[in-house]
Amino acid sequence: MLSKIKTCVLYGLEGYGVDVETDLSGGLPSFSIVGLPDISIKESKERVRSALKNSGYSFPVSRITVNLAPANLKKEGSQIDLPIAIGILSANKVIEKNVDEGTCIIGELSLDGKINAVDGALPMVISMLSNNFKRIIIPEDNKEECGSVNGIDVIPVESIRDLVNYFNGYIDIEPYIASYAPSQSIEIFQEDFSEIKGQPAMKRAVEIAAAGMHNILLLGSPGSGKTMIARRIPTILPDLTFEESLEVTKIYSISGMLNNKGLIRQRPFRSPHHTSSRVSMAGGGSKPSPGEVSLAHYGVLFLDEIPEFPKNVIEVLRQPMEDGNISISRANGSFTFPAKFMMVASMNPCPCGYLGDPSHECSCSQSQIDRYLGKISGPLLNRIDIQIEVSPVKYEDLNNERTEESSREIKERIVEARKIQQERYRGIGIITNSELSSRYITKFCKINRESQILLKDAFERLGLSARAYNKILKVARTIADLEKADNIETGHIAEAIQYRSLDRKYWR
Amino acid sequence: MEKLNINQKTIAWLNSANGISNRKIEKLLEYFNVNPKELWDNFESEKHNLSFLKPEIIDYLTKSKNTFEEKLLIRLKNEEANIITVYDNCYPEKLKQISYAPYILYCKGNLREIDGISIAVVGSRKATAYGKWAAEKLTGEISELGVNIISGLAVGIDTIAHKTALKYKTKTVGVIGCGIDKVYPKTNENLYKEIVQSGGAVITEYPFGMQPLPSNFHDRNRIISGLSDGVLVIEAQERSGTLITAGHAADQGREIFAVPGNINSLFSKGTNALIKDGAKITTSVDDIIEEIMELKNFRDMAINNQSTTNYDCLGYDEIKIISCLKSGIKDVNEICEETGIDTSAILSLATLLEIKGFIKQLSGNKFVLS
Repeated sequence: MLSKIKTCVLYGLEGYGVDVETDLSGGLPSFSIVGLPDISIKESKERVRSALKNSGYSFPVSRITVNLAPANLKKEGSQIDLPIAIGILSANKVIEKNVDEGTCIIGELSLDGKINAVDGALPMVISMLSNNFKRIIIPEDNKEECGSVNGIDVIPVESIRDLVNYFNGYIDIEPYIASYAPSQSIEIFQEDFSEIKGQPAMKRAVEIAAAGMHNILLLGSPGSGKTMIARRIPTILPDLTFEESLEVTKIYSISGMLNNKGLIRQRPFRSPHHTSSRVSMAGGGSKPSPGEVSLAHYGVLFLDEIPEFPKNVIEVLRQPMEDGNISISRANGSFTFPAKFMMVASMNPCPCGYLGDPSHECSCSQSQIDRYLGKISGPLLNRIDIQIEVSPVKYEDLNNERTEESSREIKERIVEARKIQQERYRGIGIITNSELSSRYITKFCKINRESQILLKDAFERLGLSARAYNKILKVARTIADLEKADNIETGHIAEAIQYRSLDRKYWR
Repeated sequence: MEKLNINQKTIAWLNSANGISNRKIEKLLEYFNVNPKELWDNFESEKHNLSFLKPEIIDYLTKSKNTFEEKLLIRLKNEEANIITVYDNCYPEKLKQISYAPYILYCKGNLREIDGISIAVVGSRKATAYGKWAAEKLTGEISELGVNIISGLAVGIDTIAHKTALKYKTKTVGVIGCGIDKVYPKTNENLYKEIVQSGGAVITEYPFGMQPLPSNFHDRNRIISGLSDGVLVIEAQERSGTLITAGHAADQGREIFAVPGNINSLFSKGTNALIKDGAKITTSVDDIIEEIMELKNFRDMAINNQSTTNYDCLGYDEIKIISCLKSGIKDVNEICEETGIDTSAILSLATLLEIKGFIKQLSGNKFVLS
């Protein structure tokens, strides 16, 4: 009276196959689960017992031993409820035939026998596919996210009774296939660029940033539309590809942030508050879960009022900005989550925000201002390609009836520029200009003599700092791509120089 | 300085007591018939009659009388500073004329060589882009005439005034509101050194170790205006230290030049008010030359040097941007709107124009003709 059911547990974004072995034997009735289960699995005993009883099956009066193999791996997650219940029914011969080896079962039980949704269903399905499973049983509520995976039969079930009937051949459940229609992405956003009146300079800078995935810092008084424009950046970024969409959905799936929706089609926009802790930014916890940097994967991480963020929180951004992923080490092991995002930061020129504004009095002392600006120096600035000062919106602009460019028009140009970049960097593992290392900059950002003289003059006369050099070349490359120019021309360099506000001498 | 004479010794001794003001020193000297030697000799015997001095100060003076000179000389040597008292020949003539002239100046650099015409350039610490631009432009024009620039070594307009003077290799004097051994604000440490090295001077009336107390700056301002022939006020808020300097200048009979500004700008309220009260409205160096007779000789030179800007080498769009900027400071958005040129083209042309020296970028992404 032994049965063996396959299920899955997650470590970070990776799923591992686990065998649920159930043995019914004589002796005093008891129910024990071995094989390093965590609290949520130990509690499943009670759920399994009630769910079986309330579904009309008898709970066997015998000594029940459930072993989760491999026994040395710690297991956690409520998705093991369902395989345990099926294991008992199978050992008790309620399910007549043995469940085949190529079927994996995940699902959490409710006391009335219904199957509840679990977190991380999508990454489990994808991992099981690569482990050569043919069929996976999932809760009905997870079908939208899992249905888009090809190559494995995704069987959504609502209750234990349905599943038993399915295994016994009384009913048939069709594998669920979610259609991945090309998204009409612009429509799914509630915001649009055309709502921003005036501010052509800021829009231009943001367009360049989006085209090359450059990190950008917006600097200006309150009310200049920094937050407004940042929120609209996802609307002009190219649509997520299917693979990107799967990756983003996986992260949201294990964080339990999908809410029964299907694949995520919008580029994420994350705007953590400046009181966020290091762990919430990087990810972590005893059972590591993705942080803001991973939730912003393939999207925008917006840091409003960046000098207000504690230094140690800002520091954790450095590794993901460099590597595109973040590794978190905990006692349970080391986990790597993807974290490739475009950082958009905003700040005021001083703590009160009105420094240099002729119509408001700045109430900050010089030392306050110095301290405020000092917070974003050094390594972080090194990773921001575009810095631009923005001025407050004028009343005439707000009242202007003129139609502004919509997100769709801007997006078309950006998609074109991205295509050029993908074409150019094919085979070297990078996608956008912002990822160019100094080795590739000399290869792909060649400039003519005239531009070299311009750059030299700019450094001497405009007081640029040396670290600006590579950034200017990268940004100039993007500007050239937006214009579909093969070579970087002097005009492109000249414009790129304008995006180094913080390097300029007059700033201090 | 090797040794102090009796006048220097007495004044420095009095000045070293914390909490003794210039006025108290004056009173004390009057008591001893304005004779420092008499004061030095008879201080002990008369000290019980000096009711206008606080007992602590009398105590301090009694105790330190024999030891302070040695200490002071060491400190002066360490700081490479010297002292000038009102009794010395090298004490600035102009400063001597003002009421409550400081009895002593602690000085780094060479104050003796600062002769001829001096103009004080003062303004707000948190100046607007316009103020910073005006400070640089006007100070530059004045400096080209070889006039000395006096200012207060604070941040904002003061710093720009000193830096511009250094750039044009004219002499500049910074009057500070703390002890000569202190640097305030810290960010100007290099500027201190550059001023001294360039042949200018950093001076103060406060003894060693004096902290930059807010009240010191009020009194320091009288020295700034006192050292100069005219005071140029770039930007000032209402009830600001800058207006105090202008007030001192008026009391001392110095010319006051004020740069007009927009009437809705907080930072031009003070200057516009000065203009209303009769200050000379100043839009270029010519306005200053008109008022200060001695500068008239320089005028011809200045006119000869002035060359008309040559726009021949510029393209159509570049000229459009320049003519747009002729009506004042504009940010990119405004230039874009007025000229109808693409934002990207404007940004790129702006860099080129700036490198060619036609325009200048100010903070806040604003541009102005240079």
